[in-house]
Amino acid sequence: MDLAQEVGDIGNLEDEKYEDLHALFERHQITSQELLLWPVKDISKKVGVPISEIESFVCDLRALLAKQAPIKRNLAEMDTQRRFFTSGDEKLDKALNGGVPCGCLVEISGGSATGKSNFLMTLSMTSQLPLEFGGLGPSIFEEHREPVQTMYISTESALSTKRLSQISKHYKDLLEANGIKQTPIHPQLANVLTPSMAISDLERQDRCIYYQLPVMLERNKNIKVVIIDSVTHHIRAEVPISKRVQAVTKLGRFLRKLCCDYGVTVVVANQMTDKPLKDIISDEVFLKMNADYQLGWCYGWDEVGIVYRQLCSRNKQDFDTYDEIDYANYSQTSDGPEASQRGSTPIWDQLKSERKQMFESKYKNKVSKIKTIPALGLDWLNFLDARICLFKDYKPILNEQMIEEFSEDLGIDSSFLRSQDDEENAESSSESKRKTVAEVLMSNDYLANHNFETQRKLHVVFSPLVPTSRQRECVYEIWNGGIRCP
Amino acid sequence: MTQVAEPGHLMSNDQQMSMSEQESAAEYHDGMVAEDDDDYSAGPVPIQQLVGNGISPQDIKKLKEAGFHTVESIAYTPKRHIVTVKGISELKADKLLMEASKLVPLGFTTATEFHQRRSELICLTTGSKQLDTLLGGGVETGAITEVFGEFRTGKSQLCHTLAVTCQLPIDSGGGEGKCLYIDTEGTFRPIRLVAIARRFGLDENETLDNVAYARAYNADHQLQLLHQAASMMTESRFSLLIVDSIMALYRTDYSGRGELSARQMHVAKFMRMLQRLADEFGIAVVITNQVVAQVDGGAIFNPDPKKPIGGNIVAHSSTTRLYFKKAKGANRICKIYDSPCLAESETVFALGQGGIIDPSDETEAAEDE
Repeated sequence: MDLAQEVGDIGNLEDEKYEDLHALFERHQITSQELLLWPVKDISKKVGVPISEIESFVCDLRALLAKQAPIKRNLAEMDTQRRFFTSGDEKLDKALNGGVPCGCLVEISGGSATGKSNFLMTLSMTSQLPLEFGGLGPSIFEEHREPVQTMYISTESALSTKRLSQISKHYKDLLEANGIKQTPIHPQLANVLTPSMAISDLERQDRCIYYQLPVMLERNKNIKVVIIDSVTHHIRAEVPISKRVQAVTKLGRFLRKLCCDYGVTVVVANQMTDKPLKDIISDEVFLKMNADYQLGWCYGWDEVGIVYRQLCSRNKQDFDTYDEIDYANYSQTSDGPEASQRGSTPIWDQLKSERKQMFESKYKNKVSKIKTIPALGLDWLNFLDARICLFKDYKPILNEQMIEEFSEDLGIDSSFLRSQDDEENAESSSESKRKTVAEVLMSNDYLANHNFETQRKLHVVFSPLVPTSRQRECVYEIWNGGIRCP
Repeated sequence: MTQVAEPGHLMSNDQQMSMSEQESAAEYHDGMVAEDDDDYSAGPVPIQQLVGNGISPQDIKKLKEAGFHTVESIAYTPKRHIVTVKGISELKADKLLMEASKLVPLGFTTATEFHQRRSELICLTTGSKQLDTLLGGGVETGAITEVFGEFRTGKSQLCHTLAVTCQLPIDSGGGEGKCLYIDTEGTFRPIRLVAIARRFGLDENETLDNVAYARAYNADHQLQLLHQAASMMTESRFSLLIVDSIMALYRTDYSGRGELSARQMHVAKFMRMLQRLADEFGIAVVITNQVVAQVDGGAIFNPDPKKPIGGNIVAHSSTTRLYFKKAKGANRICKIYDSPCLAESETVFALGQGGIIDPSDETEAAEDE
């Protein structure tokens, strides 16, 4: 019978008392939905079992389902609960509109070397901070303290405790600088729990998540945050694509259930995968209601990226430069019947020119990173409460003074910088100066190859705390004490 | 690929355990559940403990017939094996595993303890002091280090040097173990090992004896070699596993986009097997990777248009990623590309007769043929 899939944990319905009934239902292909909806008389006739037996079974099933229904909570009660905890940095918290949402399934996705693990390790420490510092811990004035604990399940490689102790030291120093000397208050490694055996395959991962984790949460109520770094690694290697939906759905549902049952925050890391160009589902490229547009949004792409990809898939090729996009031609074909039906082209024209402007201003820097998406697809996305994407970028260092200082060593002509200053031609200088600097940078071998700094960016794709209209991006860096804004 | 212990061998004598003993065991465990689960060494728990909570005595009987006699045997057996027992549905298996997990010690420890355990892991010296400093002591054991770069940037030289230094005593930066060298491109040169061994004052023949060399001819063979490696590592002490280079065979075995997902899954399996060997035997794993020109058009400001192959899977699986670049003469630049605990920075090292060395005026002036 499909009871297990429908209801999940079916409690005492699996007793031997009902064993025969289960078999009968299965033979007659009666689903649990039908059990609930059909008249008992019909079922008993079909299966050939006395009405009373069926009735008691359905009654038990109803009782069980009622138990699993969400508990009613009033607003006042919910208001007292913590809704977020700090990420350790003021600006990051601002981008997240408070911090990491509590009691949710939060995903941190990003390519390799974007700082996922560092982010997660920082969270394992900040969640231990006392209430006054934005963490989940009890207030510093509380006499009786139960430390907040964090579960860190690392699947890709063993937990880097060396780094973790660095981060914990930073928070210890921070609290001490604020005059809090009692060690039990400090975030510490002892409050981070981790599997004692390396999670080296899906079997161990499943055992750890599905069987050991709930027991641990049941026994230890101090665990407030569960971190899994990352959920993708083993699924990717072992589950063929055809069976992935099932595995991912089960995992997503289970983690959501943990959030609800134990009030923990589950933060998982997700890897990135390439998205090949495919046909777009609907024909209209520029509509925001377009499914492909919305999916792109869910991956954390910005508008330029989404429109660019839609144009690519429409024309089945990659564009290398903006000129190759046959803009005028395309807009004519797309306008066609719809525009004439509405009889009001101005809106379309306006939209088009808007997009075109956007393309021209931003397109060139955006192209390289709009091919990757968080792995596991839509099935996984459906279970997420919040998705935070991390990006890593390179930015040329455009420090004119420094360039001038080292110009002799580098063998570049910096005279253009000075001559511009002498002229003090305010109108043309800023524009032309930028250009020449950029040109010089490109022409110099050293500057073109080495004069770069890494820039990491956090992008809140969606979160229960963040309204969509807000600025959702924040530049961050990795330093000794975890992550922060420069 | 997972070797699972046969469930049947576990504790047949507890069948004879009398009823009273079982009851006392039950009491003992009820008392223990609330407390710390450190002292569970009191012996195996009979499977009868699981009765109740939706598990009937009949189920227990079925399991006993299939050779499961202890709670432990249930808790540590994968679900797909329990399902094969006649009369146990998938749902029941879930339930059994859930209940069994409650009675056996949970596999969690604190990070402090984990840190202590990990601090026993050593680092293998690369031969260059500057490079060692950059890497925080050398190549980490218990983790995968990926080295990528163009040809002649010193990837294979690093592998050859490590193959020797891993045999050094621990107090001089070695691992006191043998090396396993999996070669896919045919770049292994024993003569280089002899030269490097002389530099470190090791006996040449002994050094060569301690390097187990295997040539892989296709992707499946490459994976197969790792299974053999595992059995070799149980027999004697190894401290290093080298794969030079990881993607070479995949490039020829799988071609075209149609086979991409099959290829990537194979790569993922291979990488996981490496990680597993690193975890289980505490060895350092060093892999090399080739680079391709990045074809993402449009991006003007790209600090380096080369990127390692193998896609997202290799990128995510390596613990530390190092990028080797050419510099003047025999000098090379090593840049940390990705690491959980090292800052992104770079340093210069040099290639010499004795493998990887510190840069000097000589190496900078050396003719780079």
